[in-house]
Amino acid sequence: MRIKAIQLSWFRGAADPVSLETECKSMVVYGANGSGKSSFVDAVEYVLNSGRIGHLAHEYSGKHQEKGIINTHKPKDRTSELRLKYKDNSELRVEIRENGTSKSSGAETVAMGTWEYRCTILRQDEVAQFIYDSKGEKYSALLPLLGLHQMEFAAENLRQLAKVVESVSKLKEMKTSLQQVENSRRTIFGTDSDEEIVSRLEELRQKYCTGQATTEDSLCLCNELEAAIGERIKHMSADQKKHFVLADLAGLKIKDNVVEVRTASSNLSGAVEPLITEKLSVLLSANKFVDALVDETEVKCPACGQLIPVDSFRTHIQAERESLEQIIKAFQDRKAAIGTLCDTLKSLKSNFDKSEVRTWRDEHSKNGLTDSFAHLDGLDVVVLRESCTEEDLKSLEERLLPLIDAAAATSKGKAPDVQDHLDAKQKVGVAKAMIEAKDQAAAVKRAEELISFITCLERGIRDELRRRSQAIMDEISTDIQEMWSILHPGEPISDVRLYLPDDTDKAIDISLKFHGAEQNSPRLTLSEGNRNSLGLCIFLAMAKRQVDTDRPLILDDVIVSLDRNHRGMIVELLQKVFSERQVVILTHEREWYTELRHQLGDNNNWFFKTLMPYDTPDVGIRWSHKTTTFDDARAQVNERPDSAGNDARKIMDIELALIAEHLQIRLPYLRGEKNDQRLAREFMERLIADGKKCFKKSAGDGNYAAHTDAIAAFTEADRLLLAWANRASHTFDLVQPEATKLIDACEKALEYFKCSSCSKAVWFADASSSETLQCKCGELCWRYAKG
Amino acid sequence: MSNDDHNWITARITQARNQSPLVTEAALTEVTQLLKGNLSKQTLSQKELGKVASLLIANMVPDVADAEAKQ
Repeated sequence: MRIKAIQLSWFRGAADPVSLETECKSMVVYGANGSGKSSFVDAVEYVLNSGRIGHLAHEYSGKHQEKGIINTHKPKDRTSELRLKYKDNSELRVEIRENGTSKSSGAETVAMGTWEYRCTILRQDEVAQFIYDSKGEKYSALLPLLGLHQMEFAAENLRQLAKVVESVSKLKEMKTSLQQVENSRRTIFGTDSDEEIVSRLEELRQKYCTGQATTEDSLCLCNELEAAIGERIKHMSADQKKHFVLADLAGLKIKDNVVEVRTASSNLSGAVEPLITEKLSVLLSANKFVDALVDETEVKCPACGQLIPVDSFRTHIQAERESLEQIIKAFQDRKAAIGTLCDTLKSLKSNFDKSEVRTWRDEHSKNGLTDSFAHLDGLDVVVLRESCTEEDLKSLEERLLPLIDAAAATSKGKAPDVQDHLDAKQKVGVAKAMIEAKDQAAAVKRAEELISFITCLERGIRDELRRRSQAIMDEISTDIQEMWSILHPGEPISDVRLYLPDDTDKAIDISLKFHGAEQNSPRLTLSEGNRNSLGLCIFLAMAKRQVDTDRPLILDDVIVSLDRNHRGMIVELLQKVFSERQVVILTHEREWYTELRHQLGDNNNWFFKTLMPYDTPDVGIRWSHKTTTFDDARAQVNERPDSAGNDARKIMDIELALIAEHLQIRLPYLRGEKNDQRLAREFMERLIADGKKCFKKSAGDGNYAAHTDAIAAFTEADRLLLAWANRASHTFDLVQPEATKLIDACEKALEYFKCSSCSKAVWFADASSSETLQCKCGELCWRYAKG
Repeated sequence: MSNDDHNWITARITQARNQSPLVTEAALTEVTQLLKGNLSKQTLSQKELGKVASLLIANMVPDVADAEAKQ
């Protein structure tokens, strides 16, 4: 849907309502820097991006960008508002409240939310930045334009889901636990099969349980055996019980646990620990913050205060967390190792507190283990769990290992019954763990199968994403190459194309041939101007893909870094590729604007408007009534008349060069760049000389007479250019009335080239007689061969 | 997502399931619905993914999950 008008009230630079009326046609808007032309672009972006303007996304613009969006000098009784009128005469009205929130009404048929920003608005800085972006950023920027962002969401969510399934199912922990059971089985039962182990249990049942077997179920049998063995132990003598506890103590693996803590600790350098702790806490808070986001579309970055989309914030946090995953794992491993050590120490303490070993403990306390028992009694396991240093580990080794050794030495001489009960208890314990582990093994298998399924799906979607992206990019690359060839005919840069790097997903880059040599990035060899030009071609190619050709394409100062030759080709490109589209070009380049006006001025699909230089916020954006840029000069007449005069001369330099080209004015050849840098007076002198013979006006009787009024105006302008414009340029002493007169004279001189009847220039068409140009109605003509 | 995309997803899920036959009907149905819905609309938060993961893990227990799916 073409845009008919953009009306702003107290929005950005606008004060009282000011409207950019396009009449649904293409147009070129000229405005000096700061004149307010981008306010109209901002208005369209505001609507496209649901009340957000990209270049205002910073910490100073306020939560809803209200400090940037609302005119700083808006009176309290006025409302900040924008209205977009469309080709079907529907109108979208957006009223912006003081706090930056807005209320929209009308124009429901035009779903501007579905318009892609980057296929609608091309801004110089964003186009240029794209080439500098990383390949990941290019992927993020282009994917929505390729229409594949939903598949990317699916693939990325599946990738994350596989990880979350792994963590929620406690897969790693289950696998570690299964491995431990397997190790215990090998230690206790060697290579015995399951059937052989059941036979062992049966043997134990016959030894410990009285009567017939009450169950066929192995787990119930284990429980029965545990109870029976427990009962036997309960009735053991005090000495047997002592040995039993000491044997338990001797089996504690404090030494191994200490080694595990040391290994885990060596993976974490003490120097980075505080940093990681800080990062983790930040990430943890950020995660909670992200999880709490439900309806919000934007979020204020906790670090810089900038408003960014929630999705971008989530991606950012996710990337941060992934980069820390290895360190997080090392942290967790260390915590787990310390936890195991602390559990073992708790067992040690509780076993030594048992009444069965009290006498043994008292004896050994007197025989050299006093310090060890004192250390054990004073040990605070809770504190150790929070902070376990190398010194702690050394103390544990020095003080507690002798206790284990002493317990092991005593338990070696234990009574035969004790050994039998211990063996039986161990066998039953391991067999029971094996049976219980079967459920866990099934859970592991299910979790692994689910993860494999999700990963396979993700891979499939990624492959498809890659295939579709490449297909679309091949098409787009053809368009990019075509556009590049129009902008840079005959230049030794070819085969410009978008490609997906082989080594990574989620990346897009640009390749080209520079003098025949393959280059994987335009940043290697292209000049700044060429890089910008390439960025422009890429986004124009994207815009070309849009199915709805009736949407406008807005180009905001996109030619800043292009030289004259290349920017001249942009019109050719737009006419060739976007002739069906409504194109709105905004520029502060006077020369380019004038060129465009001369190139397209006679095309009914285009029209031209200029903005007055900006005055004050309460005056706001103002349109000039002229299509020329003399109002730029007029705006300076009071404050700086010399500058105004100089501006008038510069305008004439540009205008007359283009007019001389249209009228094929012959000038003596000058060496080098001087040929392209002629001044207004050189052209004006030739125009006066040739014009006396060539410039004719209809006499009304079918004949033509010399256009004496025009020649008089040219002569007057030439005289003033010589007298005052030169003075304005060199001695800066032009006064206000002189500047005004100079500007008026120049403007008047140029107006004579346009027919007052048909409004077309004298070079509008070739006349029927040879070597003659004429306006549309034939009122004016120029016989160019006569010059 | 278009209908073509939805059909493609269904085909792809069937293909992935062939390689992971232990995936239950209930889990399969859940993933299909998710992929045609929320999973393709936006980047999900860890909390949201946690809920999805718990649901899928629960649905992977064959008897219960498939009986529920059939109902």
